[in-house]
Amino acid sequence: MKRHAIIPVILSSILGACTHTDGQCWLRSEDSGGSGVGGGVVGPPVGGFGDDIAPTPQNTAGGVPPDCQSNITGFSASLFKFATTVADDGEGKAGGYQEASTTLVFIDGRQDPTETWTCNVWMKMPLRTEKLGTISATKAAEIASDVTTFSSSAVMHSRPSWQPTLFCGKFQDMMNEVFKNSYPGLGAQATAKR
Amino acid sequence: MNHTIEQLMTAAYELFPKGMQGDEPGYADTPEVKNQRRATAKARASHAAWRSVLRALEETYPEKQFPGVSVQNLSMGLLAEHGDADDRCFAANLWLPTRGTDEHAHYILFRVSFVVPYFSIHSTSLKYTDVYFTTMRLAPGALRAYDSPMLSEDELPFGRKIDEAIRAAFPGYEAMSTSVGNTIVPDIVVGGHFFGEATLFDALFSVHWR
Repeated sequence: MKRHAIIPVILSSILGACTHTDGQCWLRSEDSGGSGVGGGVVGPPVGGFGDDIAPTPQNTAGGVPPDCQSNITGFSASLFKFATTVADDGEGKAGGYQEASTTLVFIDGRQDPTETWTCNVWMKMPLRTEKLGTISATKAAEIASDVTTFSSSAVMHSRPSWQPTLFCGKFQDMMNEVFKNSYPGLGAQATAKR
Repeated sequence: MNHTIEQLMTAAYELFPKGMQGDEPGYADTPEVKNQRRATAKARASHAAWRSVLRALEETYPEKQFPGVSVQNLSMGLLAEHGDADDRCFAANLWLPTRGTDEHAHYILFRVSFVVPYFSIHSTSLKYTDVYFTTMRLAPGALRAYDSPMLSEDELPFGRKIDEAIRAAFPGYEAMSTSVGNTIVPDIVVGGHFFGEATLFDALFSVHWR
């Protein structure tokens, strides 16, 4: 039996045609019998949109499914090249601002034929915060990696299929919910558009 | 309120083209999106008024006298010259001390629109979920946000000071009630809020700071 997977993959903004598969992977067989909205892999609620459907990404470490690449672990931090857009003047408890943009590719193997689309993603966050201290470009990229990885999974599994523009919009909403709920004090925002 | 819902709807339609999604050809060149850019540029230039609100609150709540109370400016990105017109408001959190062991964070979010003379204030409490107590990590799902437009008794004094600071820096501004702000604006898409989902708050304030 053919096994279907959802594999968010990364489109290199530099090489254009080059794709990587360091995304996440879910199997269709693990995406059934859930909440009735396509989400059998049910995890913790994040609050707001997707409360009852946010899935836990599958851990492939204990045996990689045949259709999944062995290096699928989520969106890599290396995708998010943060650059300073507002210099930190060093005054007050917080300051500065940094931004990164990238293009993420999503392949929904639950559908036949497989659907593929992209979302252009912008991540923005301060350079220095009172609650979380200095946010280096490296740290910012790690946070962006975590947020995109979790949010893509949560949104993907909230419906059995997606219209790409709708997906990117809901992906944006989820990322902002995750920032709010999981990184309080960071003051980050995410935008995703087709 | 000084404006009717219809007038506020009209203001929203001046910023978001009816019947169009952000990925459609020509969207970025519509008069409405150009209006957004103009508003953002104007807000960037008038950032001083916003800073005066934050400064007034910082002076009202000095750290030594009010431990756990601090101001977090969420609008620093507006200062970026090339910044996209993502928001139609200034936004900040006034962080408050936590109340009890089940609460991780507690703050009042306040937003001041720069496209209509209105502001909004609501509180958020982030509480630990079972996920946190199982994993003891602040992973996604470990906290749940409880938002309320009605400030509790302990929050009200802070809310009043925020209200005063905003009205002093932005004369003529008034609070937009939740019932008005949550009015659906048909035919427009704002961020991830599609036709039939986008509200006046989304269009005239932000989809990021909610």
